[in-house]
Amino acid sequence: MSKTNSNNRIIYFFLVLFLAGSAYLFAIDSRYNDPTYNSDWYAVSFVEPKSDRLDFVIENFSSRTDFHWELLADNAESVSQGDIEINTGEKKELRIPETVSDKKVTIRVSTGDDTREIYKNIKN
Amino acid sequence: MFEAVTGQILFYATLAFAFFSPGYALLSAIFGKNKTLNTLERFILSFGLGIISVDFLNFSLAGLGLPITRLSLFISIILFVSACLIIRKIRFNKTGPESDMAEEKLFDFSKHQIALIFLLLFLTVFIKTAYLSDTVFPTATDMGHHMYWTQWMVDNHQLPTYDGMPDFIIGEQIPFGTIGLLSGASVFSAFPVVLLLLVNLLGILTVFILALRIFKRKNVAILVLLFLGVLYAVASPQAKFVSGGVVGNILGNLLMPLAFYFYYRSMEFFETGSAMKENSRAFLALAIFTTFGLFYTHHLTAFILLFIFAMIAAIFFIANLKDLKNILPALSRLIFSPQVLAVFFAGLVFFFFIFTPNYIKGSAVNTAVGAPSKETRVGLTMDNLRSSVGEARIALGFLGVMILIAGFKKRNFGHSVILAWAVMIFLMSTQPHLLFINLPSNRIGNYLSYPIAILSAYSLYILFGTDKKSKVSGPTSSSKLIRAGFIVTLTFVLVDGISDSASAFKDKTDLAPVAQTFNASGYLAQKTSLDDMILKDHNYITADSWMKIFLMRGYKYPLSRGYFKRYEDETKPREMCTLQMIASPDNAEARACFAETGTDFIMINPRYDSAQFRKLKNFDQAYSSPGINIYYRNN
Repeated sequence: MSKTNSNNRIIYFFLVLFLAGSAYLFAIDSRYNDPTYNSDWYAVSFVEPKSDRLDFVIENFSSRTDFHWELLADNAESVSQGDIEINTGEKKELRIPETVSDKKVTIRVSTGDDTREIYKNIKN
Repeated sequence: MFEAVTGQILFYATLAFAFFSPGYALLSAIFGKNKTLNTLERFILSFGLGIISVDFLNFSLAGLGLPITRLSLFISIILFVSACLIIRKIRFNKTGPESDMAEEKLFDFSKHQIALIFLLLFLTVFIKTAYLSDTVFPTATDMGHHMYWTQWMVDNHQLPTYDGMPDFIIGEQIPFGTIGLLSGASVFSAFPVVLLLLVNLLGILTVFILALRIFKRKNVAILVLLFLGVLYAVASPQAKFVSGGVVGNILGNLLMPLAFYFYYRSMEFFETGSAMKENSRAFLALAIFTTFGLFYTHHLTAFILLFIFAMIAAIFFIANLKDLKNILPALSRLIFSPQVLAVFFAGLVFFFFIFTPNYIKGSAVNTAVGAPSKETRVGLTMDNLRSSVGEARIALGFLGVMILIAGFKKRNFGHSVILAWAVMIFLMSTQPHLLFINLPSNRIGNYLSYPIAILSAYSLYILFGTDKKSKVSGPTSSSKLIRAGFIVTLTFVLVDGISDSASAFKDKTDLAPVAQTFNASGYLAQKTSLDDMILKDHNYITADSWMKIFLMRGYKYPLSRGYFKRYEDETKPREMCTLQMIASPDNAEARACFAETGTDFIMINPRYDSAQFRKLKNFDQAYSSPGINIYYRNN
């Protein structure tokens, strides 16, 4: 085998291995932001965390799409509630028009057995 | 899908354009097409030289006050490559045929050797890729820190200033920043890990050609691929450092062997007894160029290189004590030559006047020298070394030291290099007090696997090799006993080396915590401004160091509650606010801390830290996911 030929073959073989390995790594790397690979959670957050507004957002990364929400007053009494459908990988904003005079107001969201809460301590 | 494919093509094109082509052009300008360097060597050496060339191009742009953009980088690389090719044309047209040297047999591999090289390369890439497939996601803390500065470079079109911090070195960011700027690849993609993997692989190949040149035995070089590439392919400082983003170490383990290669080639004429050639000076100039590149890339590796170099000089001069009257004048002619002095002084000008690394301005040198100040700095035990380097490799490596000393060729500068490389790192990592080194011993010990792999390959070859060209005395017969010994030894080596990699494989990674951290980080980036101060927890939040890339409000933004043990480290007292504000947000010290720092958003893992906030009326819970709660301090 000629020297030039054998050395070129080593270079080409190395490049092919590297390209194949790295292409595979690129392909699987994209999974971390693919909802189908993270399909067991959702997030609830206030639209305006610094104000007294109670509008909130549900971001769904779970396989379930049926959500129930409740607005709870300080004494855990339900002020309002509703159901909402959110597809996997989507988010929806819910507007809360009520002005609540209680000191602590909680938003409780549930789907299946999983429940999440966010709350605000209203100042005025 | 189409976007992903074009993104990858752009990434590979950038690798070839930004790193391989400048290095290849530089070698062409210096050596033309002559056979001083083999095709395989040119390919391997091009990448490391390309990285250093691009470093200096970035320094030049910064020194000229030009913004570092896609266009300016593209033009500067084109100009550099064109200049090199023009120089080649002029130089080698003047001096006659480019290929006037005898063909070397050193790289003339047989079919069996080629097949073995293919197999070893395949296993090397396969094991590393398999491990990285579970760790490629952007989670590693060190990688997050490095990618912050990479993003900073991409966003600000200038070299990072690091806010004066000495722990970061510019050469660690430039390769990533260059790719980010030229290809537009996101730091959240796999490109940082893939680039480090390439650096790691080419570092191994550099050691392959170094061993081939020094020992002039193809089978030793092939065994290096086994000991450094296939065996312990995952353990530090291999694939684990790639996935962990230990950028400086990975680059250091490419550039240090590269520097040794060039230093060795520059001194090769001592070994052959021939007159010094013009190429010797060119190789020394490249060695100095690479050394400067290393000083711009990783201070620890450069620090270790200085110690190794001192020992190389000591071994070489002592071994050749009787011949110093011939060696010193030859060395003087080599060093005091226009090529060498030009590169040396140009490097000094860049280093002190155009772009000075932060660690030179800071106190890094002072903190690295002195009596060991911590338990982790008093030296590794043999048990530590065994687990760090691998039992089989360290056993054969020690044997290799003895065999090398027994068959030491005093005129072969490479023998001095290999011996000093192994012995000095061994001393630095096990007996730091003897050398007044005050650095974490395990960080130095990680460098030992490279020279030990070469020595393991050498000892295995000398013990069981059947190369007729071998001139070193030793049992080289192919008797049944020796064959049996070879099989037993190889089995021990393979089992130890492969099982080490197998034990390092993780269970399938749960990606949900990473996604939750990034989602919460995106929320904070959207809902807060520079007037807000965020505190997050490093102990229980996955990939938290990547938060700062979502925010891009400074390296130390957001504040971070570090590992608990760090607050108890008496040798390095630190602020307690980040601990107090999460652990006891309502006590007097924490209240003072909130007032002092202006912290109003806190991001924690609800499984560990939600109860203390839930009972306080001055905290609202603004965000909730299974792994992340965000609290807003409302007064």
